[in-house]
Amino acid sequence: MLQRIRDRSQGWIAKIIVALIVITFAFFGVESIIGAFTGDSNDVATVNGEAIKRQDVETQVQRAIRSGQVPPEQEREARAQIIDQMISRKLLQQYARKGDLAFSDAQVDQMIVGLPEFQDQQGHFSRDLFVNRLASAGYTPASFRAQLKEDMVIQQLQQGLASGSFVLPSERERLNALQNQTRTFRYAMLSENDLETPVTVSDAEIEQYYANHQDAYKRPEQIKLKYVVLDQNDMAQDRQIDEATLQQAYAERRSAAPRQVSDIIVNYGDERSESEAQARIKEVQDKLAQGADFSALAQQYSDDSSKQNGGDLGVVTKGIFGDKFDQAVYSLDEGQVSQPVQFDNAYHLLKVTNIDVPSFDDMRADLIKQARLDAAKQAFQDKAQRLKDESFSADDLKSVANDLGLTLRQSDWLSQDSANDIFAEPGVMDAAFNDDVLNRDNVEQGYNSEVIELDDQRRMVLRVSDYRPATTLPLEQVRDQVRRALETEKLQQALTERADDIVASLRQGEDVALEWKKAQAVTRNEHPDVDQGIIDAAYRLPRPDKGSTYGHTGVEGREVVIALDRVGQKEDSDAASFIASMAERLQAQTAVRGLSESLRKNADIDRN
Amino acid sequence: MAEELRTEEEQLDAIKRWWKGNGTSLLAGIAIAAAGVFGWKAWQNHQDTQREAASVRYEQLIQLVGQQDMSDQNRKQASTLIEEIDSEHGNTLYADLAHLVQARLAVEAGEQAQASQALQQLINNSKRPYVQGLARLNLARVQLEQGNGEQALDTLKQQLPETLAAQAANVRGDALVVLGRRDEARQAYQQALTLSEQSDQPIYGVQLKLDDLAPQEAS
Repeated sequence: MLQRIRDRSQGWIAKIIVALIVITFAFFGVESIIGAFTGDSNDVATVNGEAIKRQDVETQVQRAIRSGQVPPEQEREARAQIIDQMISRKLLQQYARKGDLAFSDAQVDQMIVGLPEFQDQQGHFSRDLFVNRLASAGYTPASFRAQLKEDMVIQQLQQGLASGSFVLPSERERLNALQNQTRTFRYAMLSENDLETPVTVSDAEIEQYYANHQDAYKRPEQIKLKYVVLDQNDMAQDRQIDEATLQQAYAERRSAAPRQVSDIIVNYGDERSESEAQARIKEVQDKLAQGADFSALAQQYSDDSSKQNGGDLGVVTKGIFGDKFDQAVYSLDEGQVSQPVQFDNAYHLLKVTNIDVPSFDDMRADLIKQARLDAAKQAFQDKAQRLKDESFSADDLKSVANDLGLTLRQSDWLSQDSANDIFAEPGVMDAAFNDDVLNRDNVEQGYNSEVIELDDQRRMVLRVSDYRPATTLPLEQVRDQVRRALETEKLQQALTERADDIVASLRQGEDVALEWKKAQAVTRNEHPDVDQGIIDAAYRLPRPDKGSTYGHTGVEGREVVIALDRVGQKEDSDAASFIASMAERLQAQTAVRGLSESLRKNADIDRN
Repeated sequence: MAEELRTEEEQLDAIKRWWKGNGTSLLAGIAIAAAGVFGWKAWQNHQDTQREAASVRYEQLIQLVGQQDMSDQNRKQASTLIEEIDSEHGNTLYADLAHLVQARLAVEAGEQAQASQALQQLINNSKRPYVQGLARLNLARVQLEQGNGEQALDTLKQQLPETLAAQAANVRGDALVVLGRRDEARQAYQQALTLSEQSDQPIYGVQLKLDDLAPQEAS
């Protein structure tokens, strides 16, 4: 085979192909050839011809999940959002690139060296820290630099737009004046008593209203259920637990509990060699054996800043300092000191000073509960299996309940959307309205449901015992309801009309007997005594030239007549500066967002 | 064997003859190609250096104007940087952004004429419609500040990005209020409100301005 390729490659066709490959490599790099074969299926979208790669999206999604910004169950939504963000960033990046915005390698270097995340305790850039931090965030130095370059040009663009926005003095003054305006007004709530004739409702009107609002008086289809629940907690109730089991369980909890740890750290590398460090840690170990105090030795020998607290690192859970640390710490009991452990370019002597676990007596109830559950586990699983088998083969649920010694329960009428208690738990109503379980033509023909796993410790099987289809309730059954709704509607109508009349009279300068309440120099913002709806309405009234202006508004089903007497101004320098800075921020935000949206509108975006 | 040798000699002769005829032009071609490649590289290098210089200057500018309270000296330094970016990197987006910043610094110093000059320059020189539109919007506001309501309205009639339409309507409302055309102002604010709700991008104060213009007959 190889020989044949070699033979053929002497031919001129082969030479041309090789030449083409060489040229392609030379000019476009390896990606162009690989890319030509892997094609579009790896691209999530193209933005003005530039691809967004699926792999890049996944990297970002995983990064977001790992950093805890996104709970795993929201991965799908997060992915859509991340793709959207990446499209926006791609657009900005293209715009920046076209405008000759750039961030050079030298600038990136300078920036990385200056980031506090990568500096050691003395404030110097640390290569190890740099590599470690990147690795834990899922970057390589090269990919991080590329990302940083991209980020920085986008940031330059956005910062420029933001730094170039301003608020003019007259704009600031006007906003301030409007926001700090005060209005003095009176208001009067109208009630039924203010009507000249009370609202009445006739039978004909009720029928009419009922006919016009059929939807409000519908009842959805409903079912009644027979059901059994198998509960591990019930089965666990009367299990006998002996003391030894409890002690054993406590010991297990204790050995897995977080520990408070002190650490004597002897570094090697720059200052001393590994063997010197080993000798030094041995020295500490010998002193400990002679009865020296651990924390005093930590202060004397440790290279870590924790030495000020006698080496105390605080309470530590598994997974923070790596496997070697965990292995050592979790094999120690309280007060014990480890053999020298070697990791992170240092030797460590570790001491567990406290195990963070409640006392046996405090945990007793909890332990008993758990032990009982454990004891009942096998029996529960066996019974759950029997429940599955028998409910599948049986034509009714009663015999299953009797066989398994479970109580057969009966529900009231239930509809799919308005179930409560156990019926509201996930999966229950879905199972009940499953076509095999609910036979709408003949309820008797329905089957037992499958076993519903309510949670780890509970299983349910149900069966439909009764069914009624959706219907519009007859007027006789809902007459009172209809009457109340109609009365409310008519009253509101009458009050609005009455308020119109009153406002017209007031504008004519006539006297109307109303129970006015006063609101003195109220600002737009909340007022303890006056409803916000009334304040808003008062602020929508025209300014009075002389006398007052009038209006009315509906607030929570009541009608309120308002008389605006005076418009004033409140001095508030805090508010003024707040308003100025908010206006400025919004200007900046608008400039930045406007660009993004503009680019998106004019872009050619294909989503795969 | 002898026959082959002859042909090889003949071939050699043929090559020599060809070389006499075409050798010079081939060498010249290679030389030109090499010069082209080196020239291109050098040009790219130059471009990169230019870009980096622009980037560094711009970065300094942003740092300076990002400070809470700028000293006079910082302001001076900022305007030197802006001039440098303008003269050295005139066609870049950096220059456009620097002019926006220049206008802001002028506004802060109370120099509305300077601000409007910077914006005007940006509008005339930039090739980027969005930034131009943003500058027009800012220019209209500065013109209004200077008391030129009609001028501001004219500026707003020119091309503006669609995504800033709500802001433009708001400024138009402001101009109309200054000109005493309250009914039109009310319409403009109403439009600003509708547009900003559509784009889910709130503009602070529009509702306040609209309420404050409530017509006498309203209730």
